[in-house]
Amino acid sequence: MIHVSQLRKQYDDLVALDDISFTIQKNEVIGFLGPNGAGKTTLMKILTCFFPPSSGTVSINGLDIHTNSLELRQNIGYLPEDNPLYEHMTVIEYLRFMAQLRKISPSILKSTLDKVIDQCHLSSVMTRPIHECSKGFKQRVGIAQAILHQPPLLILDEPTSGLDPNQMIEIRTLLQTLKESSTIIICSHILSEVMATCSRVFILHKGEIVANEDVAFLRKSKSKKIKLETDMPPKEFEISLKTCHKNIHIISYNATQHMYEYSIQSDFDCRNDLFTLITNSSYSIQEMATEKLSLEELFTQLTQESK
Amino acid sequence: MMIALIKKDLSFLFKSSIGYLYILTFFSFSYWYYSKYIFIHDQATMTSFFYISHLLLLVLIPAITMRSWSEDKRSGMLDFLKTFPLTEWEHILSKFASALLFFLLILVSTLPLIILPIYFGNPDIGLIVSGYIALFLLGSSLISIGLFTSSLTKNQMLSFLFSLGINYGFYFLSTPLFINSMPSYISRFSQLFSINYHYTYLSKGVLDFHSAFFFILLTFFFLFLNNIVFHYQRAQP
Repeated sequence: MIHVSQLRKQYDDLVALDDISFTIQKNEVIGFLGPNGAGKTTLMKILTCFFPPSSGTVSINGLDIHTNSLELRQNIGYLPEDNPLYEHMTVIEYLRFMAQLRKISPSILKSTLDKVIDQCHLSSVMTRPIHECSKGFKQRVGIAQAILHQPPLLILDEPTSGLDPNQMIEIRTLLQTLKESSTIIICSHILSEVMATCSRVFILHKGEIVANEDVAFLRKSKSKKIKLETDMPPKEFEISLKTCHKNIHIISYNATQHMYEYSIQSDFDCRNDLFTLITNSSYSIQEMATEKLSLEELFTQLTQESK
Repeated sequence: MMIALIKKDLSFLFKSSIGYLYILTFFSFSYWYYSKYIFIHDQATMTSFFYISHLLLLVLIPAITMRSWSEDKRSGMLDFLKTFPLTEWEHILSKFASALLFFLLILVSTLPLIILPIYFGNPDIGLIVSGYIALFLLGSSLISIGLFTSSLTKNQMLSFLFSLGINYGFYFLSTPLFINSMPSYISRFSQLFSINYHYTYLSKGVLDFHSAFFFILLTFFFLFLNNIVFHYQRAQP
């Protein structure tokens, strides 16, 4: 579906994207995460044919971004982050205008509009000027225009921004329906949103992809945080760790009646090492378990690792 | 697609009433000046109308075009539309066409003014037709200049002032103040680039190909500059 190879974008001295490559299969729902300035917007602008890359190739459904730019744009539905709308128009006028720009045949225009209005629950505001609509409705109008022409690729930048929890669930359900006919790329800062909707996540940092993993696998493979309950005192435990295992760090601890609850982090699975260290020192272990990192923690960890 | 863009621009002008305001302003000022000549100076011609109209257009057209790109740039709509299957020229020409159609509507609204000289005297119809052709050509050039300045900034007022500056720059090249302050070889050359010089020629009924060509060239030159600005802005972060 999408093949990106050695993609690079440079503005004078600033490298916004640094030779990134990836492949996205048909009907996947992909999340793009990254701190501000990571290169997400630049990547979206290239994928939507807003501007060409400095070097590298992008092919979507076999169409090359350089040679088939206009044809490719017809295959993409896009919701920008700031969701620009012609606010003086009514919802139906705006969608009709967008449908005409998307070259939807007049014979199927009405049925197409009815379908997206129903999908995005816009019937109650159809004849209302957009400037009188709430932010949630405006966001839904933005999504409606993106799916009007049933594009094979849907790119949504912060799709649930400004929506209340119920509306968020509705959009998630809608995305699940759209997944059957489109490949979906979601750019978001709301990490829980990505967790709920995406099957795979790309984490961008300083123009590079620092993670390209299945959401569940990424969590599991990077879960190197351990909760340990032992009677080994902190000072002794810290000295032992420093001498034997320099890659294991105590993040925090709580003391409770001769027992200590430690939170430990390392860059590998250190449970065996901890067990040996504590039992060889004649202390006991009450509990030892890996802690699941939240996506927020993972995100911070991955983007700080590559600094 | 271009028709959809043109309809959208025109519908904004009339939905927001601003279109009616422009038509009313142009009609009132030109009618006031024109009727003064008809009734006070007893001249049953449209010369005064064509004279005041071209001066009014120097200000009115920047006001019409100032929001053309600026507003879309400010709202992010311009960048968004660049991701649609639409070439830059289609986009520019549709903006130009919608402004030109609106300007034609302004000109059409002044057609009843022809009745007065016909009623009171025996006007030269050829002169009236050439006057309208001159106004149309001048208008299309000013629209093209206005679109170019609007493409440069998100600020409508800056776009208006910049456009006004360029218009008066082109106008100033054949004014006595400029001609008398310059050596004759410069002033002779510079007036060839003056919109006032070419407009006066055409509106006098002289169907001069060079003057018509000047306005057409000026129109395409600024549309071309608009396209260059689009290309440049696409490359920016």
